[in-house]
Amino acid sequence: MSKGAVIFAYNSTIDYVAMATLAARLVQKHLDIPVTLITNATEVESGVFDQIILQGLVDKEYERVFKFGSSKERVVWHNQNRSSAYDLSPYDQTLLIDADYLIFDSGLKYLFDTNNDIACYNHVVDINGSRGLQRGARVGNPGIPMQWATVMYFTKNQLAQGVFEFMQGIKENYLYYAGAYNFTAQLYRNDYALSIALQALTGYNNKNFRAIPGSLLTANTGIDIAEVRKSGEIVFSWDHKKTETQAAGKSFTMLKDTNIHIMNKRTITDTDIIDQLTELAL
Amino acid sequence: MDSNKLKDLADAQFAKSAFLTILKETYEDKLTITHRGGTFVARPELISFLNSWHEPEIHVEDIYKTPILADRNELLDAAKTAYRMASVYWATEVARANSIDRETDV
Repeated sequence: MSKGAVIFAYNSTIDYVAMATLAARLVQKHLDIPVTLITNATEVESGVFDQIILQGLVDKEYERVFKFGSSKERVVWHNQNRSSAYDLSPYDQTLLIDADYLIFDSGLKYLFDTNNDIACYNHVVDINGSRGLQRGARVGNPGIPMQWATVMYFTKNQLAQGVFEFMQGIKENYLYYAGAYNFTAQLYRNDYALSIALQALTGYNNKNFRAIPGSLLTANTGIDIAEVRKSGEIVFSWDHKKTETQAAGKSFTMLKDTNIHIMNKRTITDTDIIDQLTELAL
Repeated sequence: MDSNKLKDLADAQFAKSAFLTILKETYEDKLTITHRGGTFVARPELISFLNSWHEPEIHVEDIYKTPILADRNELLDAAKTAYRMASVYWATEVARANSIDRETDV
């Protein structure tokens, strides 16, 4: 059985291909599997990807306002081709990750030895302990529990195929599902489409499918990478407001040998930072 | 040191509580192992259970509530290895966190 990772990357004002290149190097280093890039970019660094599948953008463009560090930015967001991952993946066993999910640990290797048809995280934890991203997130109100599309594992099987086809259907009829589940249709979210499809196709029961154990660790868009050290430590910083127990100021934390979803695209694509992160991948 | 820099230093804080929470999450992740298609978490309970039997094969429930006919010794070895590695990682990082009080120590 062939195994590999797949990453989608569509550049906007943000260089997603650069992020995907870094993510791919880290996958190769820590998981020792080939990586396929799905993109519309014609200039991609050679020697990094096992395959590059050119696929144009489909559907409408969404704009999203990101708060990167302490500034806000409106960026075009291309996230709608993901439902084609099942058809496009050249592998029997696929790890599908976002371009901004960085792997610093070999732990996810175990997924390829499981009997799972499809798996994703159902918990997310923010590294600064903020409550913006937390356990118990839901799609809609009252809604259903959120499943996170940032990291997905699937094999070629009926359930996985059904989930991706259903996601495609949800994307094409997003307004209907937004009304049915009571969420805003302003922005297409793969997490929502995945959550709805997975829950429906496993008998409308969230306990009928297999979540990846543990939590999806995330550095939200307000968190900057302050420093990347050759020892593998990554220092993160963020501004915090005054609370009852804490004065306003800047907080720091660090991670080592830990996979992390970095939502602040500006910090991850900063020239110095991406160079330092790339050094960790070599 | 000028007063602004002194203030920045005073305001900068190592988020120890968040760090320790994340570290625990990471520790749990590192305990995950697979065996014969099943997924297990190498907690002390699993290690003790496997240790308390002598049969070469035994059914063990995995984290998805699926009974897996396990090779007892093989699963025990894998669990002990994962537990040892994860525990050393956890202890090392906690010790490091305990030595950090300020941003300059990070």
